[in-house]
Amino acid sequence: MVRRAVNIAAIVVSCLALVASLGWLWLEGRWSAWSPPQGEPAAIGYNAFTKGAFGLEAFPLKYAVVAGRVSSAAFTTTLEDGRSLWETFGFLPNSKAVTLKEPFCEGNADKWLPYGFAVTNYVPATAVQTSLKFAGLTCASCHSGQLRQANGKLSEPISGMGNMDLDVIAFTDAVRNAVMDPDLTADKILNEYAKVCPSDSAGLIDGFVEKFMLDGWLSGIREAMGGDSRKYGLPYHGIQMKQADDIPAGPGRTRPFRSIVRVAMNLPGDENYAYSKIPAVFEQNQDLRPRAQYDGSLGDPVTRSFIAAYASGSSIKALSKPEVVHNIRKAAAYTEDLGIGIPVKTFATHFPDHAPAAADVEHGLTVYKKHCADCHGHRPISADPAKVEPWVAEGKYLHKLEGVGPLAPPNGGLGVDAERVTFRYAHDLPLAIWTTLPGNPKITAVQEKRLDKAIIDAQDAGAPALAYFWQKQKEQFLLTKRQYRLGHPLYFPACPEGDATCTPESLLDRAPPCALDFKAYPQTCEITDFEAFVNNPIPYAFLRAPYLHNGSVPTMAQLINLEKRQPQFCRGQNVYDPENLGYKAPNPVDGKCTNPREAFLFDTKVRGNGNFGHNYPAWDPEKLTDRQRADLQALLAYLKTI
Amino acid sequence: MADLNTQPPPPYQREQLAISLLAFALLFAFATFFGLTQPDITFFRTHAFAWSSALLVTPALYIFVRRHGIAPLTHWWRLFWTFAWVMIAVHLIWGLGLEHDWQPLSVFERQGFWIAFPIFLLQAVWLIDIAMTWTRYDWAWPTGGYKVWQGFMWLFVLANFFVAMVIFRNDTESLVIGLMQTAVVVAAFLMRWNEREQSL
Ligand code: HEC
Ligand code: HEC
Repeated sequence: MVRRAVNIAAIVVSCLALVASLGWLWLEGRWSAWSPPQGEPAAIGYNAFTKGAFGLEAFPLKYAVVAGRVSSAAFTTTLEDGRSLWETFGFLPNSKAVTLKEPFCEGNADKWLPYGFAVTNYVPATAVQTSLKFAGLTCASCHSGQLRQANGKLSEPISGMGNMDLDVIAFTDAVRNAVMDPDLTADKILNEYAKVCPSDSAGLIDGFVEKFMLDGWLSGIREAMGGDSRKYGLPYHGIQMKQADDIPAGPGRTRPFRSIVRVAMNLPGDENYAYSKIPAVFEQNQDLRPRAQYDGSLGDPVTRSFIAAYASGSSIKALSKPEVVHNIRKAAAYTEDLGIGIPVKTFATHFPDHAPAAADVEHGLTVYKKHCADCHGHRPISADPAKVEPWVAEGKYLHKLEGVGPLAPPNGGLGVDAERVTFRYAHDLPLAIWTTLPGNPKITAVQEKRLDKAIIDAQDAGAPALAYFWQKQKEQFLLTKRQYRLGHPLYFPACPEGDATCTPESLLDRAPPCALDFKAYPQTCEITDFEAFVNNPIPYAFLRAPYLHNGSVPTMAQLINLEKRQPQFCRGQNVYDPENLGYKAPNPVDGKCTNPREAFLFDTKVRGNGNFGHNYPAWDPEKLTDRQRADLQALLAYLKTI
Repeated sequence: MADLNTQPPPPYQREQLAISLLAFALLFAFATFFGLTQPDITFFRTHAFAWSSALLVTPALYIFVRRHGIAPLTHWWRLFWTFAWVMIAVHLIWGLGLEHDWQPLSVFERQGFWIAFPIFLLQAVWLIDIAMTWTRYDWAWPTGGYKVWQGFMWLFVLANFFVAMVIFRNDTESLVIGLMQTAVVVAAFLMRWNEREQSL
């Protein structure tokens, strides 16, 4: 009797376990069903760029609804000044939010989530797809901006301009603070959500899955962050998040190399003073921009986007999902055509009252040709101020590298702040990145060889610890190679399909560390690590302020030596200055930035913030002759039109 | 020469199904759900299905050594043998479908012929064997060519698992399961030999 009952129970349990497993797998299939969107390439590109998930899932959407309530301590900077949580950290507001009458819930997220957020169902890191929706960053969270007029009016979001308000590192710290809160639980989030959005209840199964996944997300992220504390330290909180002493990147800048040293090399990223302004990403086409990043380290546009996403924290698992791969590729293609086939509003359209006079522009072009075009190429003057002519990529030094630091020529050359290219591990990073993604079987063989060589080289150089490091990297590589058996889909396109000339030897030639020196042209190396900056075109120069890679020069007038560069200024939600082409960045009073909306003290004396160099034309702004002043004013007028 | 048709079918008890099915179902559920906690869910599941198959096949390998040629094979053997095949088929679906995008040729490219070929061969031949055990009246008491075939299948399956789990030992789990399986098979032979000695 008992035996019979036990047997039957076992069979029933088995059937239940099988039904549950198969049911779950079926649901997974449903949740992850995806087919490439159809339509206009420009629209697909725009969507991929502004709404396309790429694995930077920040937190569950329901949590986003109630974050301000259940985690207010973690998100409060004390400098809100009436702004929403999102705006305080510099995300671009959703234009529909102001008029939205209903409460902000999951269902109407597209009407209140800040511009440039994706709604996805990827669980962060593992990229498993479930019914739990997440809010994640997109390219546009960083690479779209708005121009703020003196009267507070904002332009439409401009795709491709860097978001100069965005305090992305501060935001990350706020999120880390919030999720590490021991009092935060799935129940707390869901209960609060039910209060805010009472009419919005999930179905039975979805509700169960949601609770389960929310719990899993919380404990997973806590464990990951707790474990990562050794690499990342504890997050800053409150006013610290807005203080340059604590978070030195500030608005509009990130520390991509600190992150990438952490994620690609698994080493602490401290002692890294490479502050990168979020760059404008117009006209990324390879004819105009054969190599990108400020140091020209990357060639292929898809790789540029991959690295951007990877450095910002997406996992390589997420980056292998067909939908994410699609988004990265389409977003990259979008940046290649943005400003060429896809129009970008000109300065004169934004500021008709400040449109420069045609005669000045013409005079400015001659000044530009004399002092700038060799390095940057130029844009012919357009008859229609609402349009631009195609950029002319011609110039003696265009696309070449300008050495800084140890590689600088005797006269100092470009002379800009070198921290961006001289940080610790800068020279080991290319190989670490290049072997992060395993290629197809032909390529993995080369990748392994390179890693073996790195081990031997390190030993030969008398750096056994480094040899050990490369050994560990190789172990990791062998594991990922097993995980991506056909090669990772975003692997650098080292060997194009059907390219018979592509041999293991030619692959090795292009694999970092490359043999070519920084003066070689063209650079064929897939990732370089020269202590140099690249001379590239500067399309839509008015949307690139504050200037230089570290954003240390608020206006173009200062960059071209028409005005003296500011040693200190206040950054945040600065008003655009169409006269001087850039931002009105107030000087601090008694060393303090008191306006809560411009609270970040940018001190150019701080390591990594230097505003020196790029001294073109090399005139002293305080001793300009009338002729020089007129030239520079004309140059400024021309620069407004490119 | 005994008339095969006179051999009684081995006795069937419900617990044989209950236990083998339970083992199968729990291993399947483990791979499915525990996978959710792993950094690479597909990779984990693919492996977990293979480990599960190795675990399921072990009792069958053991019973076979103890009985083949001296006593009828049992339903225990047939059920575990079959569930192990189903599990390895699931492993193949995951490996080929999700890790290799349904491109069998890429498995050859990635693994080389001598690893890829047996994977597919095993899948096919084992299925034929299982089809026979469920359709032939003499599955428990094979004679002649069929008996040799069963012996060959046993060896072929064991060899596949041994090479994959112990020789390649891609991860600790494989090695541990592979060594356990080897130990069980060795023990089975020792017991069989011991019995023979005693009965002599
Ligand atoms: C967290 C903010 C952030 C996100 C999100 C982000 N980027 Fe970037 N991106 C940067 C920063 C910062 C750099 C500059 C790195 C450097 O060279 O120092 C950059 C550089 C680039 C460049 C090179 C620009 C040039 O001309 O040198 C491209 C192209 C680019 N990103 C595209 C993308 C795309 C496409 C996406 C979406 C898949 C994306 N980025 C997501 C911050 C971001
Ligand atoms: C010797 C080559 C060279 C010359 C000459 C030169 N530049 Fe540059 N320029 C560069 C390099 C390299 C950078 C990138 C430096 C950095 O980001 O720190 C740059 C950066 C810039 C930027 C900032 C782009 C951004 O996104 O922040 C602007 C604007 C600019 N140059 C304008 C000019 C103008 C105007 C002139 C002529 C007066 C000029 N440049 C002359 C090489 C040159």
